[in-house]
Amino acid sequence: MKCRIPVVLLACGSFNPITNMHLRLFEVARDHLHQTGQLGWGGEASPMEGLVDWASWGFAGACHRHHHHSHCSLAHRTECRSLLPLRMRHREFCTCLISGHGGVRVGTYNVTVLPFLGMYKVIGGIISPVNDNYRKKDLAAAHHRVAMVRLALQTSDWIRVDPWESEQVQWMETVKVLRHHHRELLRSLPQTEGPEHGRARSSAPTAVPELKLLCGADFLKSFQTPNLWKDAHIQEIVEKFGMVCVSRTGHNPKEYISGSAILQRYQHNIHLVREPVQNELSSTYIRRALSQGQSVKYLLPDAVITYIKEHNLYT
Amino acid sequence: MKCRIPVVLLACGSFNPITNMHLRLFEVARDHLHQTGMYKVIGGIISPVNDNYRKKDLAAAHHRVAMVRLALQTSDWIRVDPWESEQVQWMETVKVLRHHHRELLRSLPQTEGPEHGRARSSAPTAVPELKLLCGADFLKSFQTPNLWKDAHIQEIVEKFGMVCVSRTGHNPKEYISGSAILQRYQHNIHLVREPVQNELSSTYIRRALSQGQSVKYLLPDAVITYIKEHNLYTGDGS
Repeated sequence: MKCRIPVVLLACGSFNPITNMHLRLFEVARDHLHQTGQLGWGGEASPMEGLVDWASWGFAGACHRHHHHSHCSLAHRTECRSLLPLRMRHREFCTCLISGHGGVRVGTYNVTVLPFLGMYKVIGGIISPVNDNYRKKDLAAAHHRVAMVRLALQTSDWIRVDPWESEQVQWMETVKVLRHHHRELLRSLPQTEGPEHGRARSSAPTAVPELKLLCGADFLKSFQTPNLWKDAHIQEIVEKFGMVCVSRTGHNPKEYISGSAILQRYQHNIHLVREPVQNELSSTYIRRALSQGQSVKYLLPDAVITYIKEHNLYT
Repeated sequence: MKCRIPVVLLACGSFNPITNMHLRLFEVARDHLHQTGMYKVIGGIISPVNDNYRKKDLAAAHHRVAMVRLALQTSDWIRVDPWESEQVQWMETVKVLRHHHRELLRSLPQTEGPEHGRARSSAPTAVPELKLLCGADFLKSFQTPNLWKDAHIQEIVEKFGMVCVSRTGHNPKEYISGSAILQRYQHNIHLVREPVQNELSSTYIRRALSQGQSVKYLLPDAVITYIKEHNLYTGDGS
């Protein structure tokens, strides 16, 4: 199997409480990024035709070092760009070769290549419940919310809960949570030692994993709210990390993107996923149903419902 | 404590496969009936349809029954009944209702001796009712020409009663006002709004499975495991 970019999905939020809808976000996002066997182009890109044979362009081996695009030197990036007859960004070019795709033929010039689908391998998921100091109405204590997520994830073999954000002294911006988990991700990589350091191994080299923010389209929309986000943070999120947005009823994420210069610029790094099972299931609904003594069975894992009852939450 | 009418909810359908949406129908319906103050839901029955119904992509009945049984492992009031699926041929819904109603009456405690027919010292036990639990699309299907016998529709709403849980895109009150029979017995047709509008359907599940996509959290894990172990819904005709 050719080398694909490893990705970890990080979801931030209240999870007050966690529901099956939150859990579905991960499953749907992973399927989307994997796009088993499909060569697709993200929907938002210009239409592509057929496959490009890199060799015919003389690029084979031009950018074979497997590294994160931001680690490329300016000289390297300039060299790549000079080799490209198309207006193609360095990052897309690098990832295209990293993925090992034999070729992608571009039918027209001035097309932005978005070779992302089928080029990722999701290696993990993280749920990061928000800090209590976020002071949202009806927010159950963090240790409860973390415990409930842990219970909900008992049957998942790739998603885990991380209480780091909730254990900090105060609330912190999303970008800081991303930076933390990205540092941890890099720290957990196997270290190369000795003479092999920096040289490609005999098998497909390991690409540096990427950490992407997983969210609903309402999160993307919130970027428009005045004074809620720092522009620099929005840019860092979409430029350095990337997002996977799963659409919910009533949202048109493409509009949110086209309404923002920053988002437009990095739209190749914002993966829009349609969730066909339009689901109005929300934590708010769960809390209301519980307070009215109604059943929430089959809307969230049984273990979480048991926990809620045992600890008298959301009454 | 005022005497409330005991009710058993019966859901008929393909359950091909069962999903969390089907299971929600029961929970939502029970909550609704309890809120009227007039009913006490004492049980629920899921009755998967006979193989001879010949619906496209219908998995074998024994599989569908097994999956429902697995899905109900964590329920303390709903059970699966394979009777309908084990009959020699497909049968109309009203016959399934009649059967389960007979069984329900047969299972009641029998009074004996001099007390027979006289009220006991405590509140008398009301005769339980069997109600058909369904989505609003089922109610709509009454309008389809030649699909239902009028006599059967009448028996369902007059003798048994229905609990219809609404799904997106349906306006059940329209279906009722468009039918004389339904209008006449509308007091016996309980309309329940399902606030979590859910497009989750078995069709969606089958398609997702055939495309190798995840269906986790849309139906119970035990059912997903069963489907994988028995290679159901792979979309290759197996």
